[in-house]
Amino acid sequence: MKNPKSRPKSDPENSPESNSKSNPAGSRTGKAGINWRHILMLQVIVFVYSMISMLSKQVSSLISANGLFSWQTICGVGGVFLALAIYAFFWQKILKKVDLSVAYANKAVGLLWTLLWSSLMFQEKISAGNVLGLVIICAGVLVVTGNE
Amino acid sequence: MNNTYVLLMVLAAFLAAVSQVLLKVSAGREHKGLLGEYLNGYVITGYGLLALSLLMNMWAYQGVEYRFGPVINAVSYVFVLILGRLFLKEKITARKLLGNVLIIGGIVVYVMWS
Repeated sequence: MKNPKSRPKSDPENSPESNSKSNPAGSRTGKAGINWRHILMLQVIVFVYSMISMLSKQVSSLISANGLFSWQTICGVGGVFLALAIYAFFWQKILKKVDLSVAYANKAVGLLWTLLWSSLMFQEKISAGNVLGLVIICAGVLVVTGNE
Repeated sequence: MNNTYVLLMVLAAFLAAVSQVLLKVSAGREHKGLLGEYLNGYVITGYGLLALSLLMNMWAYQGVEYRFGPVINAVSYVFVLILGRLFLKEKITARKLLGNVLIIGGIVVYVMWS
């Protein structure tokens, strides 16, 4: 933490992370230095995160049925935290490459998975408004991550 | 939906946004080896907050349909945009602003037109 060589890299314009060495497409992908590899990695991470939210809903059923400190709930929470650890490892990697606001906006695509899980796993009804809202959200993500 | 559970989810979203700022701060610093990259104060606190946020979500899901959960949590995009500007000096460009307005608009449509 107190390493004198420490330097902030949150500003991609002043960051070596955004140069051509670490980001070959950086010169043509805008200030955030994001390229298709980053987008692909982000989407894999987003899928894992959608699994975490789906498992969280499963655990909430365990809490309702068995209480907070039952072994079933504790195992469920353990499973969620294991998935969180996998997510954490790769999320930390991608944060080195792109702006936080850009990386985080990509998580909105996880809503696609939300609709799938809610329909397949929880038999919830999906409305036209849900689909339209999702399209608008994804459009927002494309705007945030697009070239400037 | 139960409003108390919804508020709990919004609070969880804020904690998740704070955790992301801490993780980004850590990611922007030099660390000694892979272990140092993951076992430092920022990362441990960041994932601690994220774990707390997850626990709050698990509790809140008792009163919220699954399809609304990730959408309510999406309010953290706005928190991240603001915290990123305040603490990381990330620029709020017109494009980021427009994109986040669309994301919030989409969330409103998603929740209100169900």
